[in-house]
Amino acid sequence: MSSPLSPPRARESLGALGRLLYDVDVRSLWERDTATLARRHRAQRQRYRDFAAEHLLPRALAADRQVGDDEIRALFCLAAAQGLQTEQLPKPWGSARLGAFGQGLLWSAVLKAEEMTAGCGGLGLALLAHDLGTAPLMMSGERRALGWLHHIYRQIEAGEPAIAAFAITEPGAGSDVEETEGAASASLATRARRVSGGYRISGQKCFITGGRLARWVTLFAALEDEGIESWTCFLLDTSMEGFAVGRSERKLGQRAADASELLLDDVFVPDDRIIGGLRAGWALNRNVLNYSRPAVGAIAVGIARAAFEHTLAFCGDAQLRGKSLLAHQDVQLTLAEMLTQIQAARALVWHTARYGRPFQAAGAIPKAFAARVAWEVSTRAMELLGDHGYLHGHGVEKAARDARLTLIYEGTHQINLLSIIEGQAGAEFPELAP
Amino acid sequence: MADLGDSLVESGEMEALRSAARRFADEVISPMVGTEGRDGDLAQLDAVLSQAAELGIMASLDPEAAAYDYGVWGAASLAAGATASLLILEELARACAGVAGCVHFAGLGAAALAGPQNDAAQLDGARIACTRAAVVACPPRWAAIAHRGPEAEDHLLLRAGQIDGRARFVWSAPGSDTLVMFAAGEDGLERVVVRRDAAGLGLMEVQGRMGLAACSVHDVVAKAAVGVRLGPAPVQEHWVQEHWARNWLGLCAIAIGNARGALEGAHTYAVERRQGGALIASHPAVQLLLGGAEARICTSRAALLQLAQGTRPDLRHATMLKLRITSDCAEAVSDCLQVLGGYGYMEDYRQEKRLRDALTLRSMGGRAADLACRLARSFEGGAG
Repeated sequence: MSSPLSPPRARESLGALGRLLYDVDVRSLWERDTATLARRHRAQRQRYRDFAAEHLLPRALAADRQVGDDEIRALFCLAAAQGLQTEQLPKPWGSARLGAFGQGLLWSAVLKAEEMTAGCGGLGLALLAHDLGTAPLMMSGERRALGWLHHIYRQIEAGEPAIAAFAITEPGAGSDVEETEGAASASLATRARRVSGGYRISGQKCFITGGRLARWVTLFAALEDEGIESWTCFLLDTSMEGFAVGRSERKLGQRAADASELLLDDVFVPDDRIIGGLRAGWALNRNVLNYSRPAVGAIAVGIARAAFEHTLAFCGDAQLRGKSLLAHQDVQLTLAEMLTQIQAARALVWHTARYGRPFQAAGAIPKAFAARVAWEVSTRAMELLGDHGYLHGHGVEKAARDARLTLIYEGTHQINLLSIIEGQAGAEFPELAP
Repeated sequence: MADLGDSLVESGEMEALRSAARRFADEVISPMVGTEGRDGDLAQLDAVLSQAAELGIMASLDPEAAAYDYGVWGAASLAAGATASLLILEELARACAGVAGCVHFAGLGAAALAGPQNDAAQLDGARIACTRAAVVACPPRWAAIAHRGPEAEDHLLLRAGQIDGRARFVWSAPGSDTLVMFAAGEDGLERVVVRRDAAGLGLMEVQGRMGLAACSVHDVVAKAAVGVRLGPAPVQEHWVQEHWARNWLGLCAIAIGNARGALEGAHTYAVERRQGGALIASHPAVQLLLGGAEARICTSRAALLQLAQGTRPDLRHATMLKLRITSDCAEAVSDCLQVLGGYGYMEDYRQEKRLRDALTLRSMGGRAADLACRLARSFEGGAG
């Protein structure tokens, strides 16, 4: 029998209205947060969660050590069969429900990103990077580009692993392709030379997530003899002559998702593969980042949540000085702080999704905040577990390794912070208006 | 430029030791680490440790060897203080924290074998022939979480000359053939030396560690294991405290060296890499990271060398340093990795290895909460 001072029992002393106002239901924060969403988004969140629990979480530790390309393709097709990889277009062209975009384009992306990476950071990223790859097609707003998106979706719906990848980073231009000031002096190697009927592209991209498995690549190249202001987005088919995949990087974390070099040797790309128009690539890139950064924020929330859930599972199975680890107050304090940070990060990501159409600061703020949270939560989790914290089998050190990348990709933490300043120059920072 | 803490290091002999260690790290350890393989070419590890022993860096159990006195945690350190050992460990860790860890744990084993009186004659009398020792279950056990097991705590009991019990997360240098076990006898704590291949002793390797891959980690289970009991018995409390203090100070030195290596790598990268048309070393964002990292590392180093000035390491202060230094250095390494952007996250530049090692150093050897609570309790009690 619980204490008469415990909230459920104490509540009984109130009148009917008082009891109505006093919520003591035992429900998880996941359930409570989901209940605040629009109905269609509640169902989506549940679907993503079920998929991750069934297909990603059980594979997470093994995939972190080694995963084959066929396994990733099979996972992609599994997700696609449930309509999870074709959500940037509404039915009948894609799998999104018609009203899904009514509250903005971000909800699907952030809900999916968190649930997938809560299952596994690497496998989650391997699936999510496809949406980044197709994002320029959607964001261009062009009929032709949307037609290409539909074409890719038809392949996927036919059961093909028609994975897409987004290629902007080059060996000499990392941060430079993610922010305005550096871009002006960027050292770009990938160039498009005008020829009859199209362009020939030569150069190199690096750190391209999903690059090794991609069938389609939205690749950004400067026009010959011009600077980054000429950047143009091209849609490549990886079977094109002259296209090759170079080395795949050996990463600290999110290892199940490859990060590969793309090598271009005079690849012919016809005119109908120009996305968004000639010289519109820089604008397209920046706007894609406005949409992808909140999703990366959600990835960070998912990884932080994974760290928390693995820690909770461990604590439930562990004893210290004769009692359950969960009964120790220092453990409770740490778990509560971790949970608080995760809730705060999610709230910020969801707040951004409510804008409907994200702007620069709206993209960078949740990404910057949530990435910090993911790193702090996962490394605290390691500390909490003592010597068990550095063991692979508990999933916590993996979460820390996975979390670390969220401070780097989609613009480093520092680039994202500067992005906030640039984005709000003229508003919060009028003195900095251009 | 002089480093904060350099003034605490005596000139002459200390500098010579540090230089020798640095040369060894640069010429022998760094090539082993290289840029291939997750933690370098560990097949060369045995040869590297052998060279460390020949050079006198790694403590020897042979009283005739120079390394017996001057190796890390060798006899000289027990008499003259920890500074030399810590300087050596820091230099080794600049190249590889794992190799430094091997030297550190081997040294602790040698010190545990020699005992408080550094009695070489006693070792001869016991007819112990061993090359490398590991310390097992020196209480109190800080990392005593029992996960999915019936037992609550690590324990080693000595009854009628036999040892029963278990100890988890026993760190050692590879090739340790001897265990120095601290078991609870009828009259108090006793040291018992047991051969690794002794009957009744089971060692299970702890797999899947994040960092310090060069070191060995085992869970030890003893069932009626028999060894040679060494005096004096019971082991005095202060000796146990000194062992733990040496352990933690050594881990701090390794954390600092590892972070220094990260900082040097980040600086080298920053003066070569261009973004925005300029070297990234000129970018304020990068300068904030590098400056902050250096400040953490140097203040950690100064605190460590200050504490090492005493002949006998103080456990309470060593606890404080373990709590802070491993955490500050892990942050410093993370910031240094950040300077390299995406390249920092890849194996080639070795920053990710340093981060894995730093986080392992932070988690091992005692939960931060336990250390902090111990400090608070000892503050109330007024004694360390």
